Amino acid sequence: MNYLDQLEAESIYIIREAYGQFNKPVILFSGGKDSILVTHLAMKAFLPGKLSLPVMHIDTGHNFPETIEFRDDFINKYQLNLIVGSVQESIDQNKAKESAGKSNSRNRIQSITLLDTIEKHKIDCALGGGRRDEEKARAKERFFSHRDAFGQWNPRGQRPEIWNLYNGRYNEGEHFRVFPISNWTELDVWRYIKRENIQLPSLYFSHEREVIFRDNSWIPVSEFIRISEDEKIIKKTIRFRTLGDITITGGIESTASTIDEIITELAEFKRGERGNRSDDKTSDNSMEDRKKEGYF
Amino acid sequence: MELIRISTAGSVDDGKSTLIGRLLFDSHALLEDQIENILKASKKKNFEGIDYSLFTDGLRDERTQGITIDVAHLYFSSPYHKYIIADTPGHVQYTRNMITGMSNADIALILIDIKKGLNEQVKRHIFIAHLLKIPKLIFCVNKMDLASYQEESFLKIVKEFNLMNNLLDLREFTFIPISATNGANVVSISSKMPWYKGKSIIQEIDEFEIVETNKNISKRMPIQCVINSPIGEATYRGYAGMLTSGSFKVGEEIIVLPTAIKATIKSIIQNGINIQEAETGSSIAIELDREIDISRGDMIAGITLLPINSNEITTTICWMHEQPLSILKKYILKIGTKETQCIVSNIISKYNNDFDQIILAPKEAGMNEIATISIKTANPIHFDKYVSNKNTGRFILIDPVSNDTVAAGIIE
Ligand SMILES: Nc1nc2c(ncn2[C@@H]2O[C@H](COP(=O)(O)OP(=O)(O)O)[C@@H](O)[C@H]2O)c(=O)[nH]1
Repeated sequence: MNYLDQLEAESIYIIREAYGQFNKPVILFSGGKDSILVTHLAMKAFLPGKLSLPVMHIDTGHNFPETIEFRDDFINKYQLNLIVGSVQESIDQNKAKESAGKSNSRNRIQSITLLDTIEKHKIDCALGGGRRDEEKARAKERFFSHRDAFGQWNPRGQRPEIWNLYNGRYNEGEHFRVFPISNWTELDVWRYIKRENIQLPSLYFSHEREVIFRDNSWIPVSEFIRISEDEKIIKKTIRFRTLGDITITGGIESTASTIDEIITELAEFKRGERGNRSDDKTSDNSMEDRKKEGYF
Repeated sequence: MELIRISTAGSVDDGKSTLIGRLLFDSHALLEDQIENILKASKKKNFEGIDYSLFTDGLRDERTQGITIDVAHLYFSSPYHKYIIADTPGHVQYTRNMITGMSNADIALILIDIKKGLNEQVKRHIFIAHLLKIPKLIFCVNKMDLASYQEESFLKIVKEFNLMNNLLDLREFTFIPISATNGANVVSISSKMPWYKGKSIIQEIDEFEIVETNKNISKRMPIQCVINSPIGEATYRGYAGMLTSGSFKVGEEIIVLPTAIKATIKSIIQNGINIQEAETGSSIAIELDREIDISRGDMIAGITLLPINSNEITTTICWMHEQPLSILKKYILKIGTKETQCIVSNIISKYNNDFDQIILAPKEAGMNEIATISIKTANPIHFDKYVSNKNTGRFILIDPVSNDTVAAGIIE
């Protein structure tokens, strides 16, 4: 079997296990390529039947307009159920507080909204698009990753995960995060997207955009960031390697405007995928710390 | 190109993380920013040059304590294969994480420190690799630089292993003298050990090919879920699962277990597409020619070479929990997609810590011990012996109170 077929079969196996073991599994959907891939695989897993799992979007309110447009078209096209958790609502209800600072990032407080939404909808399993090659703390994650009643990940005490026997048992109030594409690399994802002709938001392909240079990457200009006087707005031809909160997602200079060009570009790349996200640059432990708090 | 899964093994500080870092570095699988970060971190630790082990220790506790606690997964390709490497912890306390990493491996890289030889923990890992029947074992005798790259020291280790192997009777294995920090015999052959005529680690793994031992023997598909979908007036009803061994064809007669009702395959759907034949390892949905009550936990099997059906099994387990195995307690046994309650009716024997003696009728089996036990299940289960079919010959035990996975077992 070709490795893409092996990865696909493994992911579908995991998705079906999640469906078979949990009462209310949902798919975490950010509008980024990894969550689109998970949704695509989940649809395949139940063909010729319909995908019955809802998709859940944690809306920071600081979105790329393209992402929201893509999300709504996607939901419509495949007739999926959408659950939205709103970070703005969490802020209005005084459950979360925005961090000060110029990026005005809502990245960290997303976890509060995420856990709230999980509780509100009695969700016991959230399928995410996390991949082990993204980041060092993620490289340690199980396929079936237990979260305690506070939504916390305990990296020191993970359950052993032997063979393909996934233990999804939990006590009241706890839940699981399940990562069906754990073993895919960024390049695998792109090769598969090409093979399957999967549609993506236009942001992944090179385009001209107003940006500022901040924290070593090109941050898009939007109504949500505060631009200081010494930061200059310029036009650049860029694309995004990951999509997240618009205030912290940096683009890379690129002319790759097709999937083939992206694959060629990636093969020559010298820097990691998350290198342009300021949330991951805070410290060597930033991902682990956020994951412990319940982050994706 | 196929995916090959590799796992490291060996005691603490034998150089597992260093070896993986070196393997990735020398095969140019590392990114500039990764190298920059590690250079910075190495400097902070007053390490001269690059501390290769820092590439895999990803948790804060691991970095501050300088040990590996849990498995890290790393990815790289050579012109021959795509690799997934599980870098596992060596510390005895984290043996369960080592088993997690090794359980799916095609190749195990077992590190032995030339200065320490085969200590208890290395022996435990070798024993576990033997138990799991990992298709290929590569013993990497590391830190050859500390033994002036001398052949005698290397041969001493080989001899030590041969002694242990009298009991295990392993046949498929390779010994390679290496220096992980210097990259000797990791990717390229080192000129420092002209007496070594074998291959480097990367050559060994590149030449490896998966032999489908499960092909065309027994046909097994544990059911994960049922897919219902209206098609016009009728309803499609498919049984979804992964074909873990053998192959199935449309029109073939099969048997559904545990009901033992026979039926014929009407259609096979893979990724929404009708196919005529499914091969081992594919995730599919099978439609049958008649209505049968089938649900998650059942199994579709070929009509010849049926699995064993019993509520009593004899098995070798590795106990993975701080709380020792209790013969008074109920556990949940999970095999394939089926779960059933069980009790341990008897601890027949266990191995001593050097794995050269069998202790008969021990009182208990504690964390990291390997024991042979009898299990009685509440409902009969269908299984194979691990030697004849890995996928349906293995299980885990779960503590129903804590929900922790407490043991991994293979059926004899
Ligand atoms: N002299 C020497 N030291 C080594 C070699 N390989 C690893 N080490 C050192 O052994 C120590 C433990 O290595 P590490 O990779 O963390 O071991 P692990 O616990 O098995 O992952 C570190 O200080 C390494 O620098 C080698 O080939 N020669």
